[in-house]
Amino acid sequence: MTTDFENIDLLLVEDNEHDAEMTMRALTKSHLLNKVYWVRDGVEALDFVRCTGSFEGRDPQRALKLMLLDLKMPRLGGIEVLRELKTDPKTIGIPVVVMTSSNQDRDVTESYQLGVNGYVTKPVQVGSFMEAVAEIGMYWLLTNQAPAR
Amino acid sequence: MSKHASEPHPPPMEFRPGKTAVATPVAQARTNAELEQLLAERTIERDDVARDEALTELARTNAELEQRLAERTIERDDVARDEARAELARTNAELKQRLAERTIERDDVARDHALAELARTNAELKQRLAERTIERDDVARDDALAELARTNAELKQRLAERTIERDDVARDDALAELARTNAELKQRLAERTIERDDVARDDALAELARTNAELKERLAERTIERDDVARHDAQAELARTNKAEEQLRLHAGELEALNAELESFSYSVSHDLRAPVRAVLGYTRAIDEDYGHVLDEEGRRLLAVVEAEASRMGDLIDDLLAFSRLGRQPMANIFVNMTSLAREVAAEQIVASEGRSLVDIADLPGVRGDRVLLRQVWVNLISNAVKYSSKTADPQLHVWATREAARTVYHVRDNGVGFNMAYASRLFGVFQRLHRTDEFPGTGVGLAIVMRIVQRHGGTVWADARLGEGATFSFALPTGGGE
Amino acid sequence: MSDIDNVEVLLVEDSRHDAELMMRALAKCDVRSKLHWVQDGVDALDFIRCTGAYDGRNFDQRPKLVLLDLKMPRLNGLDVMRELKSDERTRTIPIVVMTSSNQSRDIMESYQLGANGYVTKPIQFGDLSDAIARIAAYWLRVNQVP
Repeated sequence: MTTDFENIDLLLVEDNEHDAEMTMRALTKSHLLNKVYWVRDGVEALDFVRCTGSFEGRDPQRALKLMLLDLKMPRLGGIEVLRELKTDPKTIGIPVVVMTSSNQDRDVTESYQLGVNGYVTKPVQVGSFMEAVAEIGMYWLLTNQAPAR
Repeated sequence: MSKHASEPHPPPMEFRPGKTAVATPVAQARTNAELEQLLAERTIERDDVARDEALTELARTNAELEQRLAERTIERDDVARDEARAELARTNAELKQRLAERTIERDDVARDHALAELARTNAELKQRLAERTIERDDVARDDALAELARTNAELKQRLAERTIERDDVARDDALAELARTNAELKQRLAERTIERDDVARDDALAELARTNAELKERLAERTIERDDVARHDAQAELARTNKAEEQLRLHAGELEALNAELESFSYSVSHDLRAPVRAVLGYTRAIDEDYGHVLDEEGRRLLAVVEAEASRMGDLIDDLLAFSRLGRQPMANIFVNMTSLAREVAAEQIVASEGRSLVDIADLPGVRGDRVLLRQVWVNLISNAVKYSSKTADPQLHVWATREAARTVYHVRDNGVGFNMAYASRLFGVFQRLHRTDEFPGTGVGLAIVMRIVQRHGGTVWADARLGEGATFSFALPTGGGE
Repeated sequence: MSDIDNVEVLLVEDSRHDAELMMRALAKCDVRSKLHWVQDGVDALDFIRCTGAYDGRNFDQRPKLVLLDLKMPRLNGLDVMRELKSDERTRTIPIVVMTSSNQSRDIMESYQLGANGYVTKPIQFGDLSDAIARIAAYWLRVNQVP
């Protein structure tokens, strides 16, 4: 994973380090890993996007193409992060895909109501998981167009 | 010597030749010289130091005035003084003679001396007074002369009355009288001297003031002239600047209108041109897929040509759009890490083209500019390098930079097919290619885009190559930053 | 089962040729999905809301994906987006703008109005096929809707 956080395409917001590792392995296979940055909770996620807190002085040279957002996280949960991002015109354009263990309909509905771009339930099977991540990566990083900065 | 009959005879005055002050021309001359000397001294004594300085000051700053003043004074002096001298001399002589004849103080040496002294001073003062008075004006001189005449008459009277001759009291009175007259004359002399000096100084000051005023006026005129000229120049300059501004505004307005036109044009192109091209491409593919099997080889070849040309048209449209958009986007001005950027692009290009190239990217100095645009430069140069090395057995790609005083030069070198330097001038032109499309695909806009971007950053780009050996593309960017 | 039941993809595209090419590309994917094509924005809204010409359609049968062109007669794509995303009953339907334009102005405005994704239609058919394949793979296979 790159330590150059000025040129990040994908922000992985995941508190479970095994899941994070799996996700990044999957992205490596698609040659997408060099543009992924991993943060462990919602506060870090918002700080990263806003260049505040621990990311004070970050000078983003490109806009995020995707935020993979877990829901259940300490400090600040995914729903809150989503709400913050989608109610601010400066960040509404960041594509956010919730990737979570939960397939609770309530969470799904609430996420879409808040303006989430996509929602993925983490497959249990490794093979399916890797495939899903690859497809997520291919669509959002290569096909989809996000607003530039 | 006359005798008053009713009075007792005074003792006859001893006739002492040395004491008689019969005015001889030589004696007179000596006395006058003495008097003049005394006058000169007295004048110097009387002047205030300040006045002297003022006069000297005035003389310094206005030599001519003093000169004229002196000349005038001298002129008048000479004539009047001669006359006065003559007159006074005569009176003086007469008085002295009578005094001598009367022998006022035969025994009293002091009184004699005093009288003589007083008389001398009297005469001296009269002389000076006469001179002063005559210098100034006739009325004053007349006054002075009248005064002298009066004093003269008085003295004559006294003499006639013989009170002075015989009586100590009378003599004392006479002394007192002379002293008084002396004092009075001194006073008037003092006043006259002051007045004369005042007048002279006033005249000089007036003259200076006049000259001063004249000079000021001329200076003012000059200043006005100069200011007028300056103002004229300023106005002309302002008019010129205004005109230039006006023209600039007009141009800016024209440019804006042109820009808006271009923008709507490119939007049209982007949407309306691409759709039909997409259709042609899609449908020829459909024919190929669905009916390719019923076509003979020639039929399939014809179809392939249609597809290839339409594809080329699509590339041209996309590249043209990208090129035309370059001039109109606002450019970012941030620090760009060129090493990571170049390596990122190289990795993508190698993967995308399934290239076998050996890639060597040295550490590159960063630069201020627009990362997105600079990325395009790397993409175009590196993809070119890879493309034109695709037929090379052992393709190698080298990227490095050299630092110069005010700029950094980045180099991309490949060992591919290269090009003939004779055609190098066409390299960066839009749609200019030095290789056939069937040899190496491309629209010929890539390098034009590179040049446009580099130029927008205030830099330059050039290339060096040898046919069959490869090419080195270099672009220089100012280290200070772009536009 | 009628033509308009169990529609998974609603294609809103005014160009017949673009629509045909996209459908052709979709058909080649591994993803088998039922697609319905409407030619303008009014029809798109009617379809989703089950009104007008689509009165009687089952509202709960919501498409998994709407592919929305921008430049259309009558009602253009952004208006359709605005309508669907401002209504909480229809806000949760994923809409991916699929248009010729790659102008940043259009991209930003689409996201501001709530677009879930944005794809510029490539000129090259091969690229178009790839794009459709990836769209289908993500939106129809991986993505989850309420």
